[in-house]
Amino acid sequence: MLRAAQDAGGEIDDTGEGLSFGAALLTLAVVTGLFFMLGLIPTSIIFIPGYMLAVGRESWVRALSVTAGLVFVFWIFRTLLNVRFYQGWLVTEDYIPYFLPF
Amino acid sequence: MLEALLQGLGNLTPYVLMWMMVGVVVCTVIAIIPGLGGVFAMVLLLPLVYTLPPEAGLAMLVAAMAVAGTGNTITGVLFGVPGSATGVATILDGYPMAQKGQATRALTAGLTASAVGGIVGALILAAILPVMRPIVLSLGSPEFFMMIFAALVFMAYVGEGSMLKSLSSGFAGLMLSFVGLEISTATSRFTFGSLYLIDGIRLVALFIGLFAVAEMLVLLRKGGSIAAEKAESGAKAQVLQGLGDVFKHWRTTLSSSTTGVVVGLAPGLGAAAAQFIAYTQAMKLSKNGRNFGKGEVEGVIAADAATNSKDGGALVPTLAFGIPGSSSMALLLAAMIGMGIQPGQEMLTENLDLVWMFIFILVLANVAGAAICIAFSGLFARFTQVKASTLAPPILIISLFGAYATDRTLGDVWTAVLAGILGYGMVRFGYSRATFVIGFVLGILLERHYLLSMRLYGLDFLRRPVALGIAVAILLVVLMPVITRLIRGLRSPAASESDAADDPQNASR
Repeated sequence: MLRAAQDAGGEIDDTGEGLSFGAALLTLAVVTGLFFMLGLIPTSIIFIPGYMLAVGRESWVRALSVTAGLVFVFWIFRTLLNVRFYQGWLVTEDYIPYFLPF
Repeated sequence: MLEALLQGLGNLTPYVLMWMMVGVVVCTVIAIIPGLGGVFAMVLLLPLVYTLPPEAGLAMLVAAMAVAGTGNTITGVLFGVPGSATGVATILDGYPMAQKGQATRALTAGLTASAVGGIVGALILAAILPVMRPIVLSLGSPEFFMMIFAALVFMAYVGEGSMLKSLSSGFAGLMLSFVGLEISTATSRFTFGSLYLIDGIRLVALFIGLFAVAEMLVLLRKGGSIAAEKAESGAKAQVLQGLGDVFKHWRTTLSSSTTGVVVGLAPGLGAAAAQFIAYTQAMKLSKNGRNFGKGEVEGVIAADAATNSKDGGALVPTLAFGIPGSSSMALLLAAMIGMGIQPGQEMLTENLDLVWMFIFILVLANVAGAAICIAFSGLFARFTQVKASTLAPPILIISLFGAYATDRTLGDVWTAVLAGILGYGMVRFGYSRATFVIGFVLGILLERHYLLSMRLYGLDFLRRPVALGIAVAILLVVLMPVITRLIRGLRSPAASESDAADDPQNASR
């Protein structure tokens, strides 16, 4: 489905690298949904490698490096600057425990 | 005065300068995150300020305030994402330049203009120290109303696409600014019974959505990378070009800096208004006005110079009267009062050395912040070559983080997402997001100052000298093309026909 979305996205430019409008909206819906349900850090850990591997067809190393880099930045914000993150609806409603160290 | 100046200079010990650099670095890093901005950085530094000696603590805070606009330039140019509400005008030309492979040039020009603007703001503050009170007292709601009205009138010329689309966008932004409680009667407007909407649409969430989320949607659709074209010249050449641009367009740099200071003098107008007023003014006065919004470096210079120079102006009502003009000034005021330093007459007599120290810090922090960022501009510019599939996911997540972090309400995240879809639609169908944002930001201020002016003066507010002067200037600018054409028509009918063919305002935009 994602590859078909990419092919359909060829109308945007000749390389056919882009997504179709529906796929782009779906991407936005997925990341927003994950953010609402799981919170910031789990969304970063799931969405970034998921998107880069499935759609971008990037390597595991690159996907995990980008994810680790972003999570590290968030860790700095939390630890040094005491910025609090959204933990997700599932945690705030006690459906799952918050198991992350920060 | 001289004694206070020397004492202020003497306050700049290595210890104080070290804490100044801490403020510069922390604020620059935080301001890069969309939605957080300089005020957020100042809030995080505030607890630290009280643990330091007054000079060091205030130096750190003033330095953070001085470079708050720098992070906006970086994200605005590279990703088309405003770091905060004060970085929107930079995107209008900075991002198109990055798309043409000129990111380093845009960054350097913007950062240098920020530094020059900050220095000009500090120098003007120093120059008007002896006459602070009469200047601030001469500006009231009528003058602020006319300044904002001027910016709204000129916004028709901003942005690509037809003027009708620009005006429609601006009008839509103006209408959106009315959502919430009406300021004089507290009647709720367009809230649909929602508690979230009672405070109106949040500025930061709206900007993150309109620019950050929308640009990432555009990037996902486009594929490839942000820079559609390869850079024609290397990073070093672009740095030199960017530096040269600021001095080549010295008139734009100086006039935008001055506009920023004047707008900064007005409590409540803020940097968002300063950048747009300066941008629209520069567009009207520049020979390359037609290219604004398409990657014209003068647009970047005008926006960034005004954003930083307004701090010099904003310090005037803050220090002279204890009236903070913006959130960052309110924080500075809180820090000063917390340390037992009272603004007002005492500030301008017993603590004048502190005022001079602020002026020196503004200059030094702007130069230091710009130098650090320019040194890394080539490296930053490489982000424009990164593939969409690598860049878009982290930026989307950072945008949601930024939208949530401001007020810690999920409503802001919804606002950002919906604004992102709206912003994508505006890009797709050629409606200007810039005029939408101008209408939104200035609409709130326009209504407030109009109501105050009418309450205080009735319609006589239009007869105040400065307000009348601005009104006449607006009329002249709007009517000048018509008058010029009439005069030429009277001189020679043939000349008037060729003028009508060449007139850029008649061409579809």
